[in-house]
Formats: sequence, structure tokens, C-alpha cells
Amino acid sequence: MALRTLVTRKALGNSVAFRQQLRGLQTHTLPDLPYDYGALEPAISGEIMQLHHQKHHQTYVTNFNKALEQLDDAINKGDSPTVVKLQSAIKFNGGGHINHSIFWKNLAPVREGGGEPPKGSLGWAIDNHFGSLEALVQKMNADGAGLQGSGWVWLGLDKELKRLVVETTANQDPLVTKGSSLVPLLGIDVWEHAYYLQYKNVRPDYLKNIWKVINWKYASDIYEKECP
Amino acid sequence: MSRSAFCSSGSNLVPKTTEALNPLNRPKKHHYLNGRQRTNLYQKNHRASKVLAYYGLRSPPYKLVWNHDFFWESMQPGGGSSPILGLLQQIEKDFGSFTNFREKFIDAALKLFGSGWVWLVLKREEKHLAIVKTSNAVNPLVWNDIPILNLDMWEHAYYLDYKNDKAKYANVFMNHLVSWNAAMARMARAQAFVNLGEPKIPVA
Repeated sequence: MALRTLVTRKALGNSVAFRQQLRGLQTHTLPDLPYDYGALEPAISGEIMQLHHQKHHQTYVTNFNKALEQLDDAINKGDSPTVVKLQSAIKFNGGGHINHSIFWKNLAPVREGGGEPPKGSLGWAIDNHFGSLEALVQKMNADGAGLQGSGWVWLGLDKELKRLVVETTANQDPLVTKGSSLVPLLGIDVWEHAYYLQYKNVRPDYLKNIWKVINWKYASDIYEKECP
Repeated sequence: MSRSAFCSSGSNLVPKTTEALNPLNRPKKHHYLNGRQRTNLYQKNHRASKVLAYYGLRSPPYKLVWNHDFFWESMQPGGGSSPILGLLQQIEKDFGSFTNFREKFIDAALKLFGSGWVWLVLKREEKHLAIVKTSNAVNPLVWNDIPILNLDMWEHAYYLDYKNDKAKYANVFMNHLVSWNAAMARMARAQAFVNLGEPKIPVA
């Protein structure tokens, strides 16, 4: 009975995931957006949201799963050169999956609280550390606009020092590559695919407008969990 | 870094007929980097460099200018097909065949992580052609290699026309845009610096 279930058409249809699950490998899947593609307009266009989610993020997920399967193979065979060679693909695609999964939660339509300033302990910590929310926004915008090439700008929490930090990472490097005690509260994607169709090369305009749909509630929740 | 310095450094290199790359006179489905986007890219990337400079970023804008100027000259309307004569021979020598080179070039374009460029270079020390990838604004001249061709793989280079379809963009570049004339001229010049020939030692 179990054997028959294993070899049903449906299971075999998703053969990569099936093989991975058979070996106990965790497969990753594209998370659903908690809002419609057009819900963040006019700050971010529906066209960008759809491409960003269905094409870019999906590609990271697919390639991450592929790289993990190859890594598992290489580890089992004791093939060290391949294990090492795969690290950059894992960092890139895995990082892409991690970062974008956080990013979708960092955004919310205006009618669901997008753009509403943080209250509570996170709001207080921002004022304490940066002077004001405006100062934080200005710093993140400056760092984001100044980032060369592709990358992310982050508001993070150093959970050991209990301090807020603003950091940038290149390509799809997750925030943790800048410090193992850093927890991402907010990330803004400044890869060109995140804004080019709408803002062309004017990244500063994209950064100015994205704050209208930033989901501070998510950031506050993470902050309060780490700093109760 | 005055505006005029930017304009004069490159504007005389942009052909007047930016519409020349426009596909409207071409039949059917081919959609190239159109003239409008080309002009926009050129102007706006100079502006982008100034934005970077404004935010006090380290990377010199001239690297971006150089790479882009080189890129415009690596393309021509009605480009594509394949090189001839000495350059073709050298490609066949170093890559096995032109088809193999083309495959490897496009593969490099697709495998680049993040923003960057794909180059065909003549390696000075090793005295052969190679395909190299560089990140952001890095130029292979820093490794003492001589650039022969490049392809801009920053997303701004293709996103408006091709969205995320990098493969289509890279193929269109190889099939319709790449200027083997420019490549051959650069190769000829490069051979003033790199001796590729075998010495003809007379047998006594």
C-alpha cells in the first residue's frame, strides 16, 4: 500500500522534491505572498511584484534545492572538491531564498498597516539609537543608494549587544554574513530587478517610496521576541 | 567631477544614429537593445555614477564609464555572425571551435552572480584568449589582460527589454549585436603588445 503511494503519478511529477524527501532532504518551496501582487501600488508595481516573486524568488528556490541535492550527493561520496565548489551556489541561491522570504513579510499594503511607524519598544530603540525614525530612514536610503551593484540594505538587531544596526550586504548574502549575532528586522532589496521596470535607474526614488509599504509590525514582533 | 567632464569623456564616442540599433526595420520577432534604451542607458549610467559619487562611494565612476563605452563599441547594428581571418583562427585555437566559444560565453553570462560583465580577453602572460567574468565595475585591465569584447550583465542592461530572461538577451547579443569588426581591430592592436606567433626559426 505504502509502495503504491510512493510511486503514484503525483509524487513522481515533482521528481526532484520526491527524490530529496526520499533521502530525508528538506526541500524548500516558494512561500505565498500574504497580499496580492498589485496591493503595494503605487509604491511597487504589480508587474514588479509578480516577476520578483514568480520568477526571481522561484529561481532561487529551484536552484537552492538543486545545489542542496548535489551537496548531499557529494558529501555521501566524500567528494570534497565538489562540496567546496558548491558553497557559492548555496550561499547565492540559499541567501536569495532567505532574503526574499523575509522581504515579502517586510512589506504590507497600506490598508493593512504598511507604512505605519513602529510603536512600542522598537520605536523607542530607533529613537534612542538613531535620533529619530527619519534619521534611520535617511541612513538606510543613503546606504542603499550608495550600494554598488546588487545587494540589500538591512535594519538588524545585534542580539548579543542588544543594539540596532544598519548594514548592507552584497548580492544575496544574508545579514548573518556580516555578524553571526545579527538578526534581520527589515531588509530592502536594491537589486535592479526590484525597481527597474518602475523607477528605471532612479534607485533613490524607489527607496523613498518603499517606506510607504514597510511592515513595521513584523519588525517590531521580531525585535520584541529577541529583546523582551 | 563636473557634468561637462562626463559628457566630453564619452559623448563623442556614441554614434549619432542611436536609432541604428532599433529593430523596427527588421522583420519578425527579434527585439534588440533598442535605440531609445541605448541612449537612456548611456546618459543615465553617467548620472548613476554621479549618484554614487554623491553618496561618497569608493568606486570611481570612470570605471563604469570605461566599461560602458567599451560595451557600446562592442556592438553594431547588423552585428552577430562570426569573426573571420586571424581572430577566428585564434578563437578556434583557444576554444576548439567558434560554437564552443559562443556556448561558453553565454554560459558565463548566465552563471554570473549579481551585477557584472562578461569579457573576451587576450591574456598577456598566457598568450591566449579567455572568457572572464567580473563583478560590478571591475575591468580585466587590472589583471593586465587586454579586453577584446564585453557584455553588460547588470540587470539594467536587459531588464526593460527582456525582464529576467538573461538567456534571450545573451543570445540576441551574440546573434545580432556583437561587433566582430571592433573585436578584430582590438585584437590587431593587442598583438602589438602580445606576441602570439610562433617564431620562424630557419633550419640551417
